[in-house]
Amino acid sequence: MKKFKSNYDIIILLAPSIILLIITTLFPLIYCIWISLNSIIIFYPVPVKFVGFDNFINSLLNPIYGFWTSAYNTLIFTGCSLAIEFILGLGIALLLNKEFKGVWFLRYILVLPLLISPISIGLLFRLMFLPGDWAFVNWILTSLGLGVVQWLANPMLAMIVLIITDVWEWTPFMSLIFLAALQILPPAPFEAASIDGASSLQIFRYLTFPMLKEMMIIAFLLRLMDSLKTFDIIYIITQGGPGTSTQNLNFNAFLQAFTFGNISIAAAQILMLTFIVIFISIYLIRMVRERA
Amino acid sequence: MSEPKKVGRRTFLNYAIAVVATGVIVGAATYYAAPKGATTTVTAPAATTTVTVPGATTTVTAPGGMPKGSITAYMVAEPGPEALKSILSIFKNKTGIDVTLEVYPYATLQTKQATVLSAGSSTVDVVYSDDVWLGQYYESGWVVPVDDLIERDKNEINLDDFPKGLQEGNMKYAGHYIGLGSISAIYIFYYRKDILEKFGYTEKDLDTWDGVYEVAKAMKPDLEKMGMEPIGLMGARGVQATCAYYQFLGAWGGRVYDPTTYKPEINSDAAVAALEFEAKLAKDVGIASIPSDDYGELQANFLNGRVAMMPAWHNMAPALLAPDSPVKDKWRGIPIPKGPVKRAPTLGGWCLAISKFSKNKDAAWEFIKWAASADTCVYLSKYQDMSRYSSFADPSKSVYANASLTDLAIAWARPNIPPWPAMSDQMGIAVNNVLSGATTAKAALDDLQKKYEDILKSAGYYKG
Repeated sequence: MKKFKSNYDIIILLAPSIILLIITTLFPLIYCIWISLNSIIIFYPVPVKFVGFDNFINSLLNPIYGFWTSAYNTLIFTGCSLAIEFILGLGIALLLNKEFKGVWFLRYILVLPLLISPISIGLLFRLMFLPGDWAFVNWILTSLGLGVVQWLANPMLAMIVLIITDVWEWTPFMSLIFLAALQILPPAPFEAASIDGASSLQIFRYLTFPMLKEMMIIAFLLRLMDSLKTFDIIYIITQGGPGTSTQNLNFNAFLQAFTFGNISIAAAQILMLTFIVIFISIYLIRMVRERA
Repeated sequence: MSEPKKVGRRTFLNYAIAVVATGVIVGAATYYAAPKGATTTVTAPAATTTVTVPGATTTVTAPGGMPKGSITAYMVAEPGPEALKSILSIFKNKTGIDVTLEVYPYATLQTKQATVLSAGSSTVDVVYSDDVWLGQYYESGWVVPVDDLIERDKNEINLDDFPKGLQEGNMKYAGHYIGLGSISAIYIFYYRKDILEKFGYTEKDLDTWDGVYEVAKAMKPDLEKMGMEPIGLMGARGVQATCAYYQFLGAWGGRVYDPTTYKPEINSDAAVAALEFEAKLAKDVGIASIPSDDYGELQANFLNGRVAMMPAWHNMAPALLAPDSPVKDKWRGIPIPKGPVKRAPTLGGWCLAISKFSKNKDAAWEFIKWAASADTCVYLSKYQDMSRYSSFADPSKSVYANASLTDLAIAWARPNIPPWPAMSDQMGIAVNNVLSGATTAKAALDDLQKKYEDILKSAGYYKG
């Protein structure tokens, strides 16, 4: 390969990308930090003033800013949905990894939820879980003689509806990653294990699972980052209610900024969420590297 | 087959630089060649246009010297603005002004407007202010007071056609007219006449909230057999939960804060008792979906015969009177029942105002005058009630018009100070929490009291 004449060539060639990266990535982050260190309320005339880390401290200590309630909701939503998606995704991937008639069709079907916009999915599930006996889920329940359930009026049930929606939307993503990983596993160890008389469970326990671990961590990481930032389905289905029972950190920051106009508190909370995501991501990436 | 010719790095860079340089030169040449500061004079058509509004024929004359151009207006996604969209061509024919009318759901509208206006953007020319946003919009300098314009065009506007209560509540802030009234909103009490008669009750039995509760409780077992519940309410988290609670708060003698010191009083005994009564009404005799019911859901519940009574905005009535309404001739609207202290129907409503950042304020004002004119209001009132007396003139509205005007005379408005939108959202959360059984009225309002102290302090109102 022909070498560049000097370092200047490299700098000139890389400069546009670096400048673009600074403008699109670094500048918003720095601007966000600047906002979080000031007191700015955009919806009514209050003078802008520098307050240092007050917005971070207030977010953590003052319940009016809803940080801990939202953090708890985020934990419940992310924890439950990720666990279900992980188990279901792996199960579906193992099933679809086998060759049987019509498996290609099931693999195509699997991708469908990923092609639908989250707003449409939110609307779809909101309509299905509406309170009337004409709404899909309640229609089934009343047909079975179980009566109407107020899915969106009960704090726990509303959270369950959100988890079901997220699981429906994202389990295929998990499955696809696991399926791709399963299909590139070397066949030799599995053949040897079969010849040695290992059961299906033993093969999964001692071969498939350990060999899939890196991919599992990556899939988990990707979904975790996304799940912590869920907004669209909450906005469409529950608007964070009843009360604040389904208001996650991302939605809370949105409310702080665009309902209360307190963009400084919103920026502080978004930065804390960003740091949480970065911290977990670094930890998981390290795990993958160490294993590799 | 010959091998494709390879392009060297240097050659590629030369070509790339040449292309970029050519682009820059052509762009610069085009920019400088374009005439600067050219004025385009367009004469407004002085023609007479006959336009037919469904249900009414109006002949309008477009005067010369009319402001031209195009403007953008935001309105709330409710039946009135939706109907206005369909007759915008009339305004275009009359004035030559193009209007892009964008409608948004309540919460989205506030987010959108506040974001655009706080950024000083001229994206929108006509903004739609809920009565409780007027203070925020005026104090933040986002809208232009229109006292002079109203005085100039007083004959055309006919201010006397706007009820005084709506002028004060929906159109004015700090003694200034901010715009002209559009959708009006006053709480009234709807009941199914056929159902109450069947059970031997009259509207006199619904004169007080206690009376409503007793009637509802007595009817409940039989209504349930008919697949019906006695009461519907708006209890979903959001502005409607706040508005529904507000009628109880006033009726029990409570208030949000002391108007002179701004000390919050939302956890007073009266306020707690009011919320406890609302929760009792919802739990004992209300439809189970109340904690997730907003405007549309409540309307659907009444329309489809799922509830026999409901306190709600009077502007819901046109949909209940529509030809395809299953309850068309079966209901009546009466004034909001009395609480231990008084009747306190909640006042709401909308105002069309000019954005301070509009680059076409004259055209914006022309649009506002037309959209709030008597002719337009009469047409729109088939879909939703507007802020003029003339919008109640239709004889078919007699089943609720008197109740609306009676309640208007005593209606009490929510605060409209700039921090109120944030306070309102917190109240909506508190009420929704109580209605969904997540907490008690006392605990929710004690918590709300602390939040209000914080909000009012940070906004510089309450000195603590």
